Amino acid sequence: MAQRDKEFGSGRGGQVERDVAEPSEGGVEQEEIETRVGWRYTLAQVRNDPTAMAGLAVVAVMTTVAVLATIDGYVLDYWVAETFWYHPLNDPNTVQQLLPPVGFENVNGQGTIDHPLGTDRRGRDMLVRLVYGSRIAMTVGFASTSIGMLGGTIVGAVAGFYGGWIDDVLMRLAETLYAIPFLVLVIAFMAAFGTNIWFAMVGVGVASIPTFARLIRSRVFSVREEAYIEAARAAGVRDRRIILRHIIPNSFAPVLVQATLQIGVAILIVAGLSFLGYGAQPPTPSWGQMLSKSRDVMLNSVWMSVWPGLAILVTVMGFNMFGDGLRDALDPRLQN
Amino acid sequence: MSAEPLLEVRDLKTQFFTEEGVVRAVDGISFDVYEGEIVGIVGESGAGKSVAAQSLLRLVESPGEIVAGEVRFRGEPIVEFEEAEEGGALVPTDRMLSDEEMRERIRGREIAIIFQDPMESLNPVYTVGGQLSEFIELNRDLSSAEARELAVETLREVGIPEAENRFDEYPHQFSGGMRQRVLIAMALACEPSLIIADEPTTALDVTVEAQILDLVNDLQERYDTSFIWVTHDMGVVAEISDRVNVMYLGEVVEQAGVDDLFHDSRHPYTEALLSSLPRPDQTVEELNPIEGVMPEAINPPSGCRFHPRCPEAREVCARHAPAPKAVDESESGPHRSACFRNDVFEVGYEESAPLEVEVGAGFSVGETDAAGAEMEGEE
Repeated sequence: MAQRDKEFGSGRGGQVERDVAEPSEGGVEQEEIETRVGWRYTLAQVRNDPTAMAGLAVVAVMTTVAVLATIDGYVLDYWVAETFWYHPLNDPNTVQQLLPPVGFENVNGQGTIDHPLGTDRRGRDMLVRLVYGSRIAMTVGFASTSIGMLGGTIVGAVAGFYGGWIDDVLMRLAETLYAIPFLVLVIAFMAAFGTNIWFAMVGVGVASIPTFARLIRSRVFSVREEAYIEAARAAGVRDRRIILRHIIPNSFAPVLVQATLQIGVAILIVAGLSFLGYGAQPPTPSWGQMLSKSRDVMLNSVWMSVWPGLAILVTVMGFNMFGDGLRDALDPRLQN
Repeated sequence: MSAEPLLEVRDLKTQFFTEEGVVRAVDGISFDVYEGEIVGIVGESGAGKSVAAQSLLRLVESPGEIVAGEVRFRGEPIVEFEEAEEGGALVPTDRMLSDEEMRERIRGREIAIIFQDPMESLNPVYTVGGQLSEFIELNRDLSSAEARELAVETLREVGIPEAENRFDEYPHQFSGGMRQRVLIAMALACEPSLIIADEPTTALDVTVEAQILDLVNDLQERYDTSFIWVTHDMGVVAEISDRVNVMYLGEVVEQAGVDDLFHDSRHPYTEALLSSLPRPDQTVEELNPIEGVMPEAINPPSGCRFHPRCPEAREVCARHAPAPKAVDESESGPHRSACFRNDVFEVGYEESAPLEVEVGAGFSVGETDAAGAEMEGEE
């Protein structure tokens, strides 16, 4: 315990040091309570969990790569990629189609260090396309989850706080969303209004609203009975403020965990949509679409399927591992 | 004591509509609170004290509901009922303050409430100072800088050392007594005219309790705030109150100035409560607990609700329900008691045969004799 406390202390700035500095009876107990509360404690828990840290590393790397790729793509018009690397969209000048990864050889030639992961059917570098394809995955993951989380949190918190008929109406509405086949709806929208990745984001996001709503509602049921809620009401705080400032922050932990896991789910769904052709349109790279294009040459050029598949796998695993670690850290029942 | 009471409660009834039936948690209580006064409400667990306190601010939540009675604060109707034009059922009047008005003008600003559990009454995700200044900003129309200043000042006032530093700490970094001080600071900071304290010291140990009571006495003298002090502890009542209401099963059974109540009790329940306590001014061999437990409010006994446990119950007590009547008058207001033993009731208590109390006599022989002698003297 002492060892761990020390570790946490370093993360908590001067706070713990001062508390430790004044020895009191029950000081040990006090410290234990201190370290079991708050964000820093949660992060310290995650830090002690190698799986969660691996997940966090994947998430961090993928997010950074995606952000940089987005900046280069939208702001600099692929200037960085073109100058220092290969253009991820345009066909290259020197055509080396279906070149294998470095260290392998096939009828098209020897894999080179210039194209470490090989090239696709138009001779574009696989690595650069994977990197720029991460944009779609991450954007869709974060955007759709934000939609679901925001909508679900508000619906669930209001339903749970008021209960009664408001709860009935909101939750029945949310359950109606479960009954709507969103994938089919998204495909229908794209067929009617043109292929647009935003349909997929909104569709997947709205589809996840009931999950978030149910999750936070169950927490709100217990939080709303807390004495500090009654105290706030007795002090004349209006309901909206009670929900936003007191109810939601105290019910948010499971939502955060679910959001982390939901990002992985959203990435998978949108990869699936792209695979079917209802995602980012060529030449914009996306992992699902790259997988889809690899089907015809799968037997001869296995790497075409392997790399985007691995990218999806690693990213989704990363989010899931981080989410699991976060859940363990936030759930007091799992602590010894 | 000014002529107009600050808070007037008349025949207030709060009921809970549960699946098992209607629980009459508060069943027609009346009392007044005057400017600068501390009024105690005492009773056992389940007597309806807390529900009564919450009803005063209309904080009772479903399935509970205020069904009748009147609560006036400075003449403004917080609760008011009238008979409906059709059917004669009681409905709230139009004059009654709206929920909006209650929230904007009464709660926090005029009447504040301090809850029982200091451990749970602060939001764990915000700093103590943040919560305190939030309430101040909300109720006193101050800027956030001014609110912060006032918050620190109030924390200092309620005896938090290093208030400036502790302002930014979280509730879990405070001890129970300190948190209760913070809650008192919250109630005081908005300078309400009345503070309802719902068993604020129950969760604390006795030394901290004594400190808090001293603090409240001090602050009360300085600000001249009125208090309603809800407790089950007769000792606390004796220490702090000016006048006391004794509640039993949703009813006020005795109402008197604190000295009259302790030295001239006119209700067997009050007497029983007092004789179940150690008192510094009396030496007894053994304390007399009240036998039995309080019945459920869902199905109260007929007649006087205390009669199944009352050592002096007679047949008439099971048949008729006594309402509180003034039995004496002193400078601290009327002394009311809801017991037929007092001769202001003309129901023939003396002629009625004594009831067999199955739980056994809870009183010592000497006291029973004294009570008997007193009755004879009154005849």
